[in-house]
Amino acid sequence: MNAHEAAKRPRNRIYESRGEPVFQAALVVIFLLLSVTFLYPYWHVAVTSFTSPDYASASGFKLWPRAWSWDAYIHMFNASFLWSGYLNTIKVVLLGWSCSIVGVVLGAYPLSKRDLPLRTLFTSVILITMFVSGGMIPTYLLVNNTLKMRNSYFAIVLPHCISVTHVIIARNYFMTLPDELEEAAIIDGANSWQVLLRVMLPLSTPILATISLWVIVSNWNAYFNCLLYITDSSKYVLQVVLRRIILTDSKEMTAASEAVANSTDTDIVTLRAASIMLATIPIICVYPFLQKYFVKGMLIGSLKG
Amino acid sequence: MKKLMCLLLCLLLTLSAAALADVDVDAYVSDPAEKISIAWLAGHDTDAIAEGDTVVAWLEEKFNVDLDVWFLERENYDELLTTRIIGGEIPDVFMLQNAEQFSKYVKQGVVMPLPIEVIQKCMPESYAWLIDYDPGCFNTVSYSGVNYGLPRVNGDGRFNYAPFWRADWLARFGYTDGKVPMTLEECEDVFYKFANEDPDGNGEKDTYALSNTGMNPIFGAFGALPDRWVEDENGDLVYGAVYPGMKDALTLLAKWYQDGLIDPEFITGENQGGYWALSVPFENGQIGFSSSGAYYHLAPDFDGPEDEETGAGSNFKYGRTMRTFAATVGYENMVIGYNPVGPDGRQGGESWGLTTDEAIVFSYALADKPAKVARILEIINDIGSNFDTWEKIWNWDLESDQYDYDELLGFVAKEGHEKADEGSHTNMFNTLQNPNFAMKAKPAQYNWAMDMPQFQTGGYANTLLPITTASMPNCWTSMETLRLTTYIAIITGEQPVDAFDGFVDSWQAMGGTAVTAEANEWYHSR
Amino acid sequence: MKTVGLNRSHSGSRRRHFMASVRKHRLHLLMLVPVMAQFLIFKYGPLYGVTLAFKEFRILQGITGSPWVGLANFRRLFTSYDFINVFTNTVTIACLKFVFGFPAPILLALFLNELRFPVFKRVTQSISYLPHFISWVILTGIFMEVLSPSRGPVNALIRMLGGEPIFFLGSPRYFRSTLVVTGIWQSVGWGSIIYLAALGGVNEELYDAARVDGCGRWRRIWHVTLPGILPTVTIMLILAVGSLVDDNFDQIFNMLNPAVYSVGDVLGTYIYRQGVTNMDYSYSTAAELFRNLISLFLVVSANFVSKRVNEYGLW
Repeated sequence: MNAHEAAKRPRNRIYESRGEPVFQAALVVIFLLLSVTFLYPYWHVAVTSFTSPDYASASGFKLWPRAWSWDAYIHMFNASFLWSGYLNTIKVVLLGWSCSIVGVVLGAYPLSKRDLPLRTLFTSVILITMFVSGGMIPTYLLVNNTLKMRNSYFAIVLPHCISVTHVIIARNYFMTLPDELEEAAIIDGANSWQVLLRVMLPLSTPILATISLWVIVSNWNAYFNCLLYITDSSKYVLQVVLRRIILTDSKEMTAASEAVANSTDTDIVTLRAASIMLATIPIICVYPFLQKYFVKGMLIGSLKG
Repeated sequence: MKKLMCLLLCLLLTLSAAALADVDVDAYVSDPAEKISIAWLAGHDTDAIAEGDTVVAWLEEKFNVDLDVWFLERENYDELLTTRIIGGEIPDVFMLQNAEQFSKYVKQGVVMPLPIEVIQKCMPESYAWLIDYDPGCFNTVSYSGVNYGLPRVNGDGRFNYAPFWRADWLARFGYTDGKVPMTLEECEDVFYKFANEDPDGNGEKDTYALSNTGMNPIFGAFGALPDRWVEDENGDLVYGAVYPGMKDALTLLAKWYQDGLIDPEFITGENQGGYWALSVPFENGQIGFSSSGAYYHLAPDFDGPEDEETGAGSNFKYGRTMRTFAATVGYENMVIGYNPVGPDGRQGGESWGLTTDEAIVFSYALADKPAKVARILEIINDIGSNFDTWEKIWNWDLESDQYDYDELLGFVAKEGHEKADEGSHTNMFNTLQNPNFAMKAKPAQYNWAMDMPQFQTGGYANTLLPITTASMPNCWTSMETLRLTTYIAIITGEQPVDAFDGFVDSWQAMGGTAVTAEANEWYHSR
Repeated sequence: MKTVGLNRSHSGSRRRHFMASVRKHRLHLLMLVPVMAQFLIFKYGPLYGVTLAFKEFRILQGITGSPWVGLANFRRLFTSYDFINVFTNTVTIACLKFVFGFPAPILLALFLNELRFPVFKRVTQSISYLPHFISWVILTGIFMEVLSPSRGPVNALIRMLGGEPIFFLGSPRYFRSTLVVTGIWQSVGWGSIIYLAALGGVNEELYDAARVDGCGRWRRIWHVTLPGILPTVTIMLILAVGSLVDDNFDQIFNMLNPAVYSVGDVLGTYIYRQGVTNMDYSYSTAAELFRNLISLFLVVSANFVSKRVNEYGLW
């Protein structure tokens, strides 16, 4: 029986208190109220993105557009480089995700072995970097001048692909998995690689899913490093592209230029709102897909049997 | 013989070195036949130049240059620029965004001096209209008496901020047909009525007179704005925060706050976190007087609404602030007023200077390349003074004949004319921002503003001191924090008005005296 | 003589022990090679940039060429007029955020876990982290509306209940609490994800066993759930302690106004304003180093305590 079936098995037959329905009702009410508050800002932005510029800047609650307008989205989708922005961001996310997951697992697994030689040394080397850092300029010189990773996605992804926090969290997770599992596999003739791939990873789906989510989101939002290292505008990622679209609306960026911007139908407020929607909706949809990995892949009990 | 040659050579070198030590204006000439490559960042941009951009190609051909146009984003400009320079790349000509950057780069020798004589020689036409527009425009690019670059002027600097009123509220108290209160006393009188005599007629006492942007014209009526440098009666610079007239202004404002004339939420800003020029309480009918936004935010809808029958669109939809008010408050209920005249006859609100604090500077590496400097100045001059060139840059379109000139709209593309889809990089090349040309491009707004005396009564510009003085980095932030907290505390009544004197003393002790002395040293040595 | 022989054989055996261990873990050590390489190259390579905190930055001379000024940057930081106040605010707000903000996502995860309606549970979970994706520029505008004394629903409710409207964002008395509550609200959903993952790792059979033994809900949580996620909680706690001094700049920067500087101005916002008059990277590097050293100290202490209490820690 796998985890999904176990989760679906009705659990309320054995022992439940009489206050159960009341408790559930209370939970539902509280969560409904909370959800409304959590949802509102997003709703507000969505409504703004569909509001005509006359009312877009008006204050007050936005429950429904006072005057509907598709203008912001038309303007966004008219920009031919919007799609290249999406594509490039997807490339960065895939590259970043693969580098990170591989790096984190390769770092966390050995460090989870309590009798690893020089374990404290390795851990300290990694941990210290959480507290001291050379800063942006030396990193730039290293990546751009020394390593000559110019205009490439590796420059955006590689320098920060293995986060100390992720390694530590994954390491501790591995440490909580019982040793008997590994020992059983080793007795069966598996080497360390096989133990990692066939035993540890399948059991670690919740933690891998969490770290994946964090890594995907952070790569999706990559912005400043792209500005720093990418000079070819066809390689710009989504966040950079979106700002281009918004700011390209004004001919000049002095305050005077806003006068020119005023004479068009699109408005910076609605454009910003639309760009937020376009940037965040794809990434928000990632978590629901990952949710199913948050249940353990294999029951420990099955080994005991 | 060899020794003699050596000696002669040494003599020659010394002589030529001595000659170069003085500005050899004649060296600043470029041979048009010589192709020069230029790393260009003489303005701001929102996007990198696309491959094969037609306008850039045309510029390259016209001036026989190879342009490598940089793109550095506005918000992280300084960091990006510093990083590139450290990495070994520096643009030949580039823009600096403000006084702090200018002071920093000049002090560190990243920028080369640009003598006025050279400017006069290489860009005579532009120099002429620059001085004509603002005789002091080169102050923003001078440091220790040496000129380091070109200023960028601002056509909008001609117009000060003007406040606006609820016309329907004013009408209830005798101000009809566009009449507005003109003196501080008249304003005060109306303010009390706004707060106490139910101007919106709903039977509730739920209105105030003003919020925080409305305070600026009040300060201005007493001779200064708290965050601007002004000239006192001796011709010295003094910072508005400690200007004596401010105490009188604060006395008035504290009294008004006590009497319920000021919206208590002024503390979190009249824009309440939104676009800077909006006024939320005004829009909601909570106040009747405000000074948020510059002149163009208040521009009317010049060519009227969309035609219901023909569906022909309106090209204008008001200035951004007016657009929101037109929809919420109603355009007919708005009237633009004058900065009130104070007891000493002073008046004024915020204003930008005629010259911005942006600077166009040249890299130190060009110190021994006068031909390149001359060519760059030539390009800048042409765009800045030759209307045909400028028009192409403004529209970012080489086909000027495909544009009609409209009285309201300026340049309008002819029916069916498709511009190349390559974005617009006007600001990057419109280095000098010739205000006379800009006026021609936006005739509706400029002509309207020129006809409005409200925008021409004068204001307090923010550019009297366009440099950071030597002691500023160590104390300025704390001094500004003290100013902000003290002023708010006095207005809300948390501190008595007499706390102002203690504030002035603290401010001077923290470094104000030193900074003021340094400021005046700069001011009088221009 | 015998002693000498014994010593030699001990040190020899220690080395042999070590080599045996290395051989045993050779594949593990191999796995570490790319990871260590990444850290050495990209984190330790640029480390010399830290020296900028002790130098006066000259652009044309680069970081390595800039002259040393010792502790001058730090002295400037510590002797600034507002430093004490700003530092106190940073610490106070951080503590408040920690005390109330650390348990919040755990509680959210626990209660979500108790929900019996799987679809509702999944939908609620997905909605709960939406605020994380909205920037504070927008959230501030929304909160100014919601908490406005004149227009906002919160104060409308207060007035209905007979109270006086409260100027949450504008009065020093309420500003910090407002910061903390809104900050927690924004991050609680996203922060609960790691705990939901940890909850997914708790052995199902333990729950069944507890039920059979007659444990009600709360005892089940106390005896099964909490111990089950304790390792995760411990690590997150130590890490949270480490970020105590990383004030939530975005939020505070947007919500701050001069009326509440006395309680709300923190290190980050103060240094930001200083940056306006002096874009001095050596100064900001010094401030950053100062903050990081405090973080390091806090983390090491937390780690020490944690290892005494249970065996989990960063080291």
